[in-house]
Amino acid sequence: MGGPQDERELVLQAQSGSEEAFTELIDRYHERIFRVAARIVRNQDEAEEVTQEVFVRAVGAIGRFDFRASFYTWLVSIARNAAFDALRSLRRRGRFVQQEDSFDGCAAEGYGDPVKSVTDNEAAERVVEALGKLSVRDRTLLVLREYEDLQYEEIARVLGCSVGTVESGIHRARKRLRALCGDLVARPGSER
Amino acid sequence: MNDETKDRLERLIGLKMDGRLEAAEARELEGLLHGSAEARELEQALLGLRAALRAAAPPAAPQGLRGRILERVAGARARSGAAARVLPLARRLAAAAALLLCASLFAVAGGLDKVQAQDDPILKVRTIEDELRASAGAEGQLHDFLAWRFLGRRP
Repeated sequence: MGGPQDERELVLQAQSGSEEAFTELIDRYHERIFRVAARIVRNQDEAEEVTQEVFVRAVGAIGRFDFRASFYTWLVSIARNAAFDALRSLRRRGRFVQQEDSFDGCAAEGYGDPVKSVTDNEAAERVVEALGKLSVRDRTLLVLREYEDLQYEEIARVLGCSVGTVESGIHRARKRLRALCGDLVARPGSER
Repeated sequence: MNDETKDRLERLIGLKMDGRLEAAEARELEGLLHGSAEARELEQALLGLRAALRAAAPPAAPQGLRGRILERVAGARARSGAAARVLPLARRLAAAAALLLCASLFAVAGGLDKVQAQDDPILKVRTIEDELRASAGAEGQLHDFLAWRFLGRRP
């Protein structure tokens, strides 16, 4: 993946109408955007739809991207809006359930660490399951912080709120997640 | 540990995990952890929670996702390209239609004035009142006429 300068150049080219530059941006980010979408909507088909929608919206709006945030943060803002739209639509159609089924087993698949114990995988599965039970907003906050490693300022930009709101939101979301997981994660030595 | 202290502790641990702890807060956290086994347990729980979260495998992107995105984006580009070609034409047509409508309105209005002007001498009937008003020194007669015409008074 290229550096920030390289990315700025790519975005500028895409803004000037270069299809190749935009395709390069899709190549860089589509998998990450899919993961964010999947973790928020928790449904594979909807996550794919959201991912496609993100890039369709992005190609129409790239001229308005002003480099105040990173391009990825901007895409995540679009993904967040598209994911919320998808969830609203699912609710309207009465198809929204806490959807664990679409990603059953994903937590147990390898994550580049072949010596990971079964117990750790079970804990991961249960935490992911608990994450799915949180409100969409709490889940989004934790996904952006824990999985995407966004800073509070970036999350605030994505969610359109203050850094203070992000800080207290993450605190509340972690408390709720811990309450849902019970004593599952209270094992000393599970720190990575 | 009371609920308030526990909440504060949990917040501080969260800030530490996110690398946002300031020096004073770090000292406060140190003090809380040093003095309480429960506090250290809570820290372990939160670290374990994060570890478990991060241990979860990321949802794998479906096969062919890139291709489908490119297809949708190309479709969106084609639509916006077509819209970019059609919109100026539509704008020009709308402007021409508006001009035509204005011209028609002017023409109709002008035509009506003309017809009205032609009709005036035909339709205009000079009344007794007009005659009296036009005659010099007929104010008294006009007064009598109007009193008779509208009030029914005989002169």
